[in-house]
Amino acid sequence: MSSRTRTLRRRLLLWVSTPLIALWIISTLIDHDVAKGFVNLNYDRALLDTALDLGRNVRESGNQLYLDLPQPVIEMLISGEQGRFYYRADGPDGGYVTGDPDLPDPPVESLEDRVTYYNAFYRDEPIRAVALRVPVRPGSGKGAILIQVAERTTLRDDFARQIMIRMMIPQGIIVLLSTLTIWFGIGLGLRALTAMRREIENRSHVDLSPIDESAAPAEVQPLVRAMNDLLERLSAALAAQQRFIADAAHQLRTPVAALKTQAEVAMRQAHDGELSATLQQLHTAADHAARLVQQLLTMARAEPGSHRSVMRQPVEIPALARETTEEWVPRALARNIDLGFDDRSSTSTVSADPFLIRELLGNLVDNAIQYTPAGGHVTVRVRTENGRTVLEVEDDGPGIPQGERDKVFERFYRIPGGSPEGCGLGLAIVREIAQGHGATVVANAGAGDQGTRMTVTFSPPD
Amino acid sequence: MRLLIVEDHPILADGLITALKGSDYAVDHADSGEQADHMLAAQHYDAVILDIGLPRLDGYEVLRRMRRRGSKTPVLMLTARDALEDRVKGLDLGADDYLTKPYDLPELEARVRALIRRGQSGGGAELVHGQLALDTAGRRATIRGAPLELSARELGVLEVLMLRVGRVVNKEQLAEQLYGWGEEVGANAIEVCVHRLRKKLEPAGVNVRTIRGLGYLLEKAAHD
Repeated sequence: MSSRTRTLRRRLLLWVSTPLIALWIISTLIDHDVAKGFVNLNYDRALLDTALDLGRNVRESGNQLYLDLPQPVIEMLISGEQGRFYYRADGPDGGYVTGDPDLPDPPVESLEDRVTYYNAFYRDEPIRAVALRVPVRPGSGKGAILIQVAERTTLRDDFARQIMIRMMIPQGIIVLLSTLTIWFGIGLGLRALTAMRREIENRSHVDLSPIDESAAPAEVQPLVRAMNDLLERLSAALAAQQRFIADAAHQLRTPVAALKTQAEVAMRQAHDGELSATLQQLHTAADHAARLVQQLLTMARAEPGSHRSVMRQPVEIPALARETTEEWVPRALARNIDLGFDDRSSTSTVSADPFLIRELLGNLVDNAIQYTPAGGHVTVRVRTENGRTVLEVEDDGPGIPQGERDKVFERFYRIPGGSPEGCGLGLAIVREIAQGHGATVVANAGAGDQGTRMTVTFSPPD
Repeated sequence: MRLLIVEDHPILADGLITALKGSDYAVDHADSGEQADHMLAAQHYDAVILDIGLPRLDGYEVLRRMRRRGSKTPVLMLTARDALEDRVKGLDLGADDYLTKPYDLPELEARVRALIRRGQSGGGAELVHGQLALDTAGRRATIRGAPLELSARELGVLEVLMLRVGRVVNKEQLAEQLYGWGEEVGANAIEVCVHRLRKKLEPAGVNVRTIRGLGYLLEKAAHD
């Protein structure tokens, strides 16, 4: 699977984690705002206190207003946590009284209020200020003195930022934990699908039985049902095809039998040498047709969709191999080939369809006999290797060239320049049957790099 | 010897008739189940070659009716199907042997001969193989009529081999046969016995072939 493949898990995670992260960012911005509000509330109080202290000590002397405080007291009042406050006092007529003369004026719209907080710039730095209006003499109608106290906002900003960061970290951890939980949760939820995938992966290619629907999560059941429906239709179509092939092969048997019988009878009657040779060829051709018909039938049975493909039972391979080899001895002798049997197995039982295993071995032996010249040897061997049953057919014929060894298992394939007698189906059937039994089949050179050794290795018993 | 061939494929039937007439059998032919049923009811046959797939009245039904009439005539069934169930059904209905199409003509002829022999004799019969003959009842073997000296063991082995001419007889089967004669025999004893028998059969031109890892086989005589 490539990393670009969009897995369901990744998609779900993306859909859930994206809004989570957005929420986290928004929440952080809100946190910052709230923190700033609280910080301002606190610090504004100190500004106002100072403004009130200053306001209480403005005195009138004749028409002159002045701040009646000794310098050290003023210094103490205006000292903040980060250097001094700025301040300025103005008379009711707007005349400057004392303090930092170029401190900016409060916003015009605040003129009616007693206390006004505002933000501004002073000496190129952001400041926070309070404007307090104190009557010169209460009830005298003489107007009010304007006291302004300001400080730089750096500390407040730092403080608000720190609060924001302290809230942001645990929230971030929550987002991360949620994401992880979702990741594993989805994995857990998808485990039912993984189990189903394994079940399908481990199937033999002849197994078209429905997938177990009850094991699937409710959301996936319609999909499983649709797949089962497809499997059923596929199975029916395959079965119909197999039936057709089997019927066709059965129908062919009688005319082929007629052809063989007539050829044989004609051979007995012919006394002309040339005619006899022709009839012999006719008889051989009829034999091949007969073998092909038998192989078509076997193929139809070994393929998926055939009802026979599930007729498994415990089969003792050595006994079955011995019996099958015995059956082939007369045909081997007729071609002057020494067909032998070699049992080196510890008792090997395999779950198999005995009819098909017999056909498998028969095709291997038939093939070996056909491609081995007269006087040659063919040996059927049963071995046990690492608990696996191994069935071998070895001959000392011409062998199969290295490059052709895989191709010989293809349908209707023939080795170039090989014997014309084979129909090219035998080894394809062997592979088909082997695969249907979870067994492997390979072609190699025989002992001493001579001839051919076909090796069928069954999977170990469960 | 009178045979009835029940086969609806005309060319196949014709080939069988010609072949079997060539072996000096009197051969009748029926091309439907009904016709076969009538002929079997009216006439005695020494053996019947019966195709299963016949129009209207199939081979199974012909066989069933035949056995219901009490006929013991041996029947060789021919079929284009080789499913096990079909074979079992035929044998259950009383068929004596079974061949799948397409068959080898010599094999069919050998089976017919075996059926007729079985039908005629109630056990002991004379087995003939080329110039060699074995009287299983009298337990005597001859080559061209001249008696052949064989021990009881050798006779036992020869009988099994002759009953299965051209087919493999494994050592277990031989041991079983010899054990039946009241003797415990090992693989070595069998080898020795076959070796001796082989020598004694040489004058008859009959060969007992050793099949690697499987057993022995009495080779078919050239003119069988």
